[in-house]
Amino acid sequence: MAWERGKQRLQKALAGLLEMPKDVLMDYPKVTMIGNVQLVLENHRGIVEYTEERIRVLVTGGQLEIFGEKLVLRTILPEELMVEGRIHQVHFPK
Amino acid sequence: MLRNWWTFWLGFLRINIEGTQLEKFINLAASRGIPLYDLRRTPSGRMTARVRLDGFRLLRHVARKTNSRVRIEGRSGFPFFLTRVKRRKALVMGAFTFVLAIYMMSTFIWDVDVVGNERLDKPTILQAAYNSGVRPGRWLPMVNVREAEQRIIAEIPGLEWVGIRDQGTRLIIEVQEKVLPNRPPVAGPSHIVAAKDGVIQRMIVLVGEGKVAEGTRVTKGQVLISGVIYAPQKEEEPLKKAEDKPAPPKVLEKLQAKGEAWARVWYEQTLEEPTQLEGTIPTGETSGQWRIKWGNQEIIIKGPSSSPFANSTEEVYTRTPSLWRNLQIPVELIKTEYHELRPYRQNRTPQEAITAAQDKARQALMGQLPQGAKVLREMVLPQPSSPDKVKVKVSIEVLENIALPQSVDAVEQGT
Repeated sequence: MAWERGKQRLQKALAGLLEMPKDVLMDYPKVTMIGNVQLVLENHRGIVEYTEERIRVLVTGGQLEIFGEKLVLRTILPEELMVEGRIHQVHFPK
Repeated sequence: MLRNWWTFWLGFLRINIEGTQLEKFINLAASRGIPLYDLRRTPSGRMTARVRLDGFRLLRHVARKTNSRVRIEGRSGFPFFLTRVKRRKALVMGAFTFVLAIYMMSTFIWDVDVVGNERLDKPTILQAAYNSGVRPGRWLPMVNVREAEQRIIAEIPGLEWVGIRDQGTRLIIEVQEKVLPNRPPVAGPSHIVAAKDGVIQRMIVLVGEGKVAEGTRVTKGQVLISGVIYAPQKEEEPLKKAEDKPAPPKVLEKLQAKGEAWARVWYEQTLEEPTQLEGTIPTGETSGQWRIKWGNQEIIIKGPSSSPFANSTEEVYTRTPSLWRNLQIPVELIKTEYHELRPYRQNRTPQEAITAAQDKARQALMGQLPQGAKVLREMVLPQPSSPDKVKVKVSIEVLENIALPQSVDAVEQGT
C-alpha cells in the first residue's frame, strides 16, 4: 500500500510541473470516505478531542471535525487515521 | 486478512487507559509510531485500545508523560498461546508423539501384494518374498529392495523379472514370468498317427520314417510317420520254410517322429429347417426397476413391481456399494431391466429355407475345422423331408494337417 501511495505521489510530482496537488505540496489533509461508515484521513497533525459523538483532528490550515454516532478510531498511525462508525457530518470550522 | 495473520504471531494486547489527557496520549503514541487500533471511548470516561505487543513497552513512556494509567485487559496471539501451552507440557508431548507415531508407522511395510503372476501362485511368491525380507512389519528403509528382487528371482525358477515398488505402506511385487518353450506333447519316442480319416495329399517327414505314400487313404489312428527305425532287411534271402516266421527286425533307433501330413478330409452336416419361422424379437421397448435389498427384505424404490409387457426378458444387475476397500455395507442395489419381446412368424419359400439351412450348416462345419485348414470343395444336397420342412446335407472337402503325435508304446498296445 505504501509503495502504491509512493508511486502515486511520484506520478503527481511529475505532473506537478503543470498542476501540483495541494496535499503533496502543502501537506493538506486528504479525506477519503466510504459511504458514511468509514473515513480515512491522511496528513493529520494530532487529535484534539475524541468522544463517541465527535472527533476533532488538527490538520494543516485548521481543524477537521467529524460528527456521528459510535465513532471508533480504528487505526491511528503517525500520518494516517481511520474512523469507523455512523458519520453524520464532516466539518471544517472557521 | 494478511495483517491479521501477521498480528496473530506478534501478539496483541487489549489495554484500558485511564487519564485526563487521553487525546494527548493518542497523539503522542501516534507520533512515536506506536499504532493503536480500535480505540473506543467507554462511558466511564476511559478508553480501550488494542496495541501490538512490541508497542506496549513504548507506551509506558507515553503514559508517564500524560499522567495516565494503562491496564492490560486481555491478551491474544501466538506469544500468549505459547505461554499457556508451556503449562500443559503433556498435551504438547501427546500431540508431538501422535504426529511422530503416524509418521513412523507410515515407514513400515503393512501389506505386500503380487501383480502379474499367471502360472505361479501368489503364496509361493509371497513366501519367497518373506524369506528375502519383504514382509509386513519390516521397516521400509531396512529392506534392500534390489537384493530382495534378485533373491526372489533366484528362488523361484519360473520368474524372468521381479520389480518391487512401494505405494505408501504397501509393497507391490511385480513379476514377469518366463515364457517357456513348447513342451513336446508326448514324452519319449513317438509316432505320428492320423487324427482323422482322409486321403494323404502331402507328407513332410522331418524326423522318422514315412509309412504312407501320398495319395493313400488312411484311417484314424494309422501310423503315418514311424518313430521306430528298423534295420533294413535283406530281401534276397528267400525264406526256407513257409511257416518260418521272419526274424523280427532289429530296432535301430527309437525317436520322436516329427512331420506334417496334409490330407483331404470330408466333413458332413445334415440339417433340417422349417419353412415357417416362429420366434420372438425384442421391440426395443425397455422398462427398468430399482430395488434395495436389506437382508431378506426388498423394497422397490422406482419402477413397476412386475414386467409391464406381455412378453419380455429381464436382465438383473446387482450393485453392492462398498464403503472403503473391502468394507461393505449389507445393502444391495438391484436393477432389473425388462425388454419387451414381440412374437413373429415368417413364411419362406423352400428355396429361402434351403439357403438359410445351408448357411447354418456351413457355419456349424466351419466351427469344427482346425486352424490352418483350407476348404477345397463344398457340396449341398437337398434331402427329402416332410412338407413343412426342408432338409439339407452339406459336405465340404478340406485340406488339413492330420498329424497327431502318439507314444510308441500306446500304438503298440493299441494294435
